[in-house]
Amino acid sequence: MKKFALVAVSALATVAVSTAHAQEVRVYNWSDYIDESLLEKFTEETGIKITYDLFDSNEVLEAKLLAGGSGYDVVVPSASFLARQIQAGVFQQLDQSQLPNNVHLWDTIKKATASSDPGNAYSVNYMWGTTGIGVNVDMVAERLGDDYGSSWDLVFDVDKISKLADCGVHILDAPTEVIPAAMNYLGLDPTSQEPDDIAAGGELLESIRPYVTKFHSSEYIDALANGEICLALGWSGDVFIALYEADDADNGVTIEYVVPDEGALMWFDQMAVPSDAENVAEAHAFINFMMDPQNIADATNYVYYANGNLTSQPLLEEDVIGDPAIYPPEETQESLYVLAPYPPRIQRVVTRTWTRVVTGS
Amino acid sequence: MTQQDTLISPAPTTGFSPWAEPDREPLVQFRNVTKRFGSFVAVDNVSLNIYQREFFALLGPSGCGKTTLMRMLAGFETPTSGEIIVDGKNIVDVAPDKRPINMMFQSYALFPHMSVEQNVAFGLHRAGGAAKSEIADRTQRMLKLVQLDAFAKRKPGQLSGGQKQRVALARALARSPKILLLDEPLAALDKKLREQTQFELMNIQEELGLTFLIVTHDQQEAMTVSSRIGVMRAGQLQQIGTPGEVYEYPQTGFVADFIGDTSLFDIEVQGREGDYTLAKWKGADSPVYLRSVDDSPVSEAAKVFSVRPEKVTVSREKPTGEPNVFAGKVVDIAYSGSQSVYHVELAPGVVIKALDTNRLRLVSSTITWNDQVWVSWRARSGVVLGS
Amino acid sequence: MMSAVRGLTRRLPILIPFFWLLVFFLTPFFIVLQISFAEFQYGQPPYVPNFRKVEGVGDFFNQLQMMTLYSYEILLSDNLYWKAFLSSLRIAAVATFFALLIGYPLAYAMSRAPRSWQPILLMAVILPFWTSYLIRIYAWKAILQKNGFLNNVLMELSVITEPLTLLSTPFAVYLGIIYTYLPFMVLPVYSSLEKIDPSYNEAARDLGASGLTAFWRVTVPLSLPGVIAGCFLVFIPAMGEWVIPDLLGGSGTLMIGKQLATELFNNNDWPVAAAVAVCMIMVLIVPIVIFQRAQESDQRRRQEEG
Repeated sequence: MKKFALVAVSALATVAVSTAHAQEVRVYNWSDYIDESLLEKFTEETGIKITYDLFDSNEVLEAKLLAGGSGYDVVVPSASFLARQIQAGVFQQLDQSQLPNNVHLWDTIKKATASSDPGNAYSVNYMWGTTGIGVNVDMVAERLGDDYGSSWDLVFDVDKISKLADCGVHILDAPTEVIPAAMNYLGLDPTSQEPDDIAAGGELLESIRPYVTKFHSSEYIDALANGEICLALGWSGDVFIALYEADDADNGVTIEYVVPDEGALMWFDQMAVPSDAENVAEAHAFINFMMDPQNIADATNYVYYANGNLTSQPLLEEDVIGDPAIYPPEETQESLYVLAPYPPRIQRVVTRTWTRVVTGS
Repeated sequence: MTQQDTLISPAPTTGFSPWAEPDREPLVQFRNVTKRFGSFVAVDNVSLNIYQREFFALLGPSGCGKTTLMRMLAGFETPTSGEIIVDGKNIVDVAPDKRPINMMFQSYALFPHMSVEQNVAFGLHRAGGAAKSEIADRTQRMLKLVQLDAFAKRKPGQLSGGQKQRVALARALARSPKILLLDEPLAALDKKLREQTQFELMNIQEELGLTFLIVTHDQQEAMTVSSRIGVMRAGQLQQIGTPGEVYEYPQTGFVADFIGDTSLFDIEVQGREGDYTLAKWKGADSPVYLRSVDDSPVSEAAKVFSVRPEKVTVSREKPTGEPNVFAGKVVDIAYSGSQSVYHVELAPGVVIKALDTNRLRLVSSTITWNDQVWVSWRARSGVVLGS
Repeated sequence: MMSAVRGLTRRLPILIPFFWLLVFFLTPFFIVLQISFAEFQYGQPPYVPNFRKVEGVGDFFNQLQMMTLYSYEILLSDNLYWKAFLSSLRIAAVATFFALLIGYPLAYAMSRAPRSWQPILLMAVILPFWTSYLIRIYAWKAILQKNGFLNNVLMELSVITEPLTLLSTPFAVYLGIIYTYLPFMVLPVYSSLEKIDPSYNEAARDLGASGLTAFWRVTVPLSLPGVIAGCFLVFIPAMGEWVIPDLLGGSGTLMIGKQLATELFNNNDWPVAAAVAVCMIMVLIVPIVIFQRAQESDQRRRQEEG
């Protein structure tokens, strides 16, 4: 497991097996998002050398893609970002004939991602999850009582979060996910693109700002795992990674992932091929490899994120497929929401609001 | 230290000579001062008295310890053992800024970020108590003294070497120190300017009635400016005396050789002949005649005979009336314009130097290489040394 | 022809630095300047390209008209950027002050150490550069975190009973910046102290100055070129610093470097990011020019003395 996920500085993981044709593929994926033995397996099976770099925010990925010449053949943006990137002409359509494993895909997820990528022409789901709350069970119980509940109150109720400030609170540095969560808590439509609604969400966040230790998108994994913080607004799988890390370390830290009752953001990370990719065939080979039920099941078992591959489900471990926090049951799924991309003008409003939340200026 | 042949005694001193007055309290006394740097002995058990209003020169080759001795007086070095008494007080433990002593550095050490004026006033500000106008007055006076009042606002970087030297002097004098130390003060100046400045230094010293201690490796400079010279070698004081004493009556071969020019010969005292003492030497079969100032016999301890070139006459015809007349051959001539030094070989490997002023043009000079000549000197012109 | 070649070789020593400046500063700067006048678009590239090959005078003015001051209007319309500038200035100034406070005595001690020790001490100052500063900043994270090294030691020694919150505070940011840039202060200060002829200090003592007065009136003024160089070498990178506050600071640290990153990554607004960069360079160029002047006059003085 990676201990260090560098912001904007991608760690390099290269699995090199020399081949006669020196075929290669360059993949840019989120940090802590794969079982790395799969990369070796890919090279063994296909003879394609793989370069695997890491990022931890959609914004960083988008900046690279729009600048052009990123040099990557497969990237994994979230669906809401993917949608506007497709419009900007960043991606090329996938050649379905090179993706025989697409028969295994899960229609439910395909339908959900089609709102961002019509007909799923440009992307294939890698994994999906929710943005919820990671809790250090003992530390939070000590301060709020054993029945601290599973509501967004934990984050957005000043009364509650102020009691947690002393043990540490992290919130994702992801404005496009956290502001909608606040809007949702206020009873507003989380997908609203009205500046007033966005401002309202921002105000709520500002009110809890004094109790937040840090806004960051990857540090909370280790911080949760070693008891440095007691609460994190974070991504489901990352919280689970922290949970099992703490388990392995046997350090007395117990972590829980909460999908809040009021509903949460459901997001989809999509594998796509940049239009200027140099190794298109190899890119397809990699995507197809990750669509293999056994491979993606291995990945899910490792990182605790749900995937969009129906055939892989019987191959999952019981505590993964059976965990409602990873594979939410139908009734929970109804409370989840999916975001549409912001147009640039609104994006600036969201960013500005976020800056005010984070820095107070 | 080698002992002097006491039979050749210096001429009686005249005029300013406080060191000759037994009741005079010295201003500075070095008492058995030793300074070691690790295993290196820079100053070796030196005792020395310096009197009020003296212009004392410490002379010696580089590395002889003269600068270290001066720096101990300034307070930049602490003696390993011994005492330094100034005005009756042991100052070994007194910080440099608390000593009534100022120093003019060899590099001048003028503060480059301050104007000439600020440099000179620096020490006055440190004195405390003085009003601004007093300081300004005194600064002006000092700059006038060294004729640099027109340069008050300049930075040291904008001055010539000679001007810098004067600023350094003015700055060191501004605090009216009891003793002014001068560390090779003129080394950076060219010859003409150096000679001129030597006289200026003497005038200023006399005018202000101060005590100066100068460190130099230039014997000419030491002879010109000082009332007394202390010749140092390898951390030890070889001889202390007036310029005349150390020149005419060197106590060691080193002093004789270091100050001025000389020819040195091994001798062996044989006996008396009237007022003369006869000594065997390698210069000729006939003995060399020695005569002390009071005509008393020269001790048998004398081992070396020294005679300075200007005391030796060289001629084609054999001179009469002198007991020391020897034949030889000119092997070298060092011509330096006003004078020539003839190297005359008396016997194989035995060469004596004779100086002749060139009253006539060189072309009319009759003595040249390989000429057979006669050298002669008066019996009292030589000096004998113990070794 | 030959004379032209000879003329060129004679000018080479002047041309090389000029060429360097052109390639590594002016060209990138003009590219950034040009982007800052471009119009934003969501696409690839994320701005409307506004400079083609100029075809005639008319075309030149046409292209000029395509330029927009929109990005600068955004900078002026929101006091956020102004605040971020000021905050960066303040952080850089405070960090520089403390770097000087710590660095000067360090450099002074080094310059006073025995000659044979000095290369070793110098090495000790330079040695940390042999590892990436990112790694070293991560090491600080491990030291400062709640159950980290420092808290554990303090608890063990019973200095504190509860672990202190050190990470994600302004203190950690200052610590990181000062730690990272301290050598840039120590080295020039040391080099200027080491060049000072010890006889200046002796002369001051000789003229009645106490050790302290000699230090203040002589050593400090003479080391000023090194101090100025050190201050700029710390101040300038600290001003644009982004990674250290991101890693060690809380998210609340407002800095212009971070703001620039936000424009680039969150808004994908290259023209505004470029405008921020242009303003930053303008703010920094003033002290750089002052620094240059100081260096030149110092050099002149040295030449005059030499």
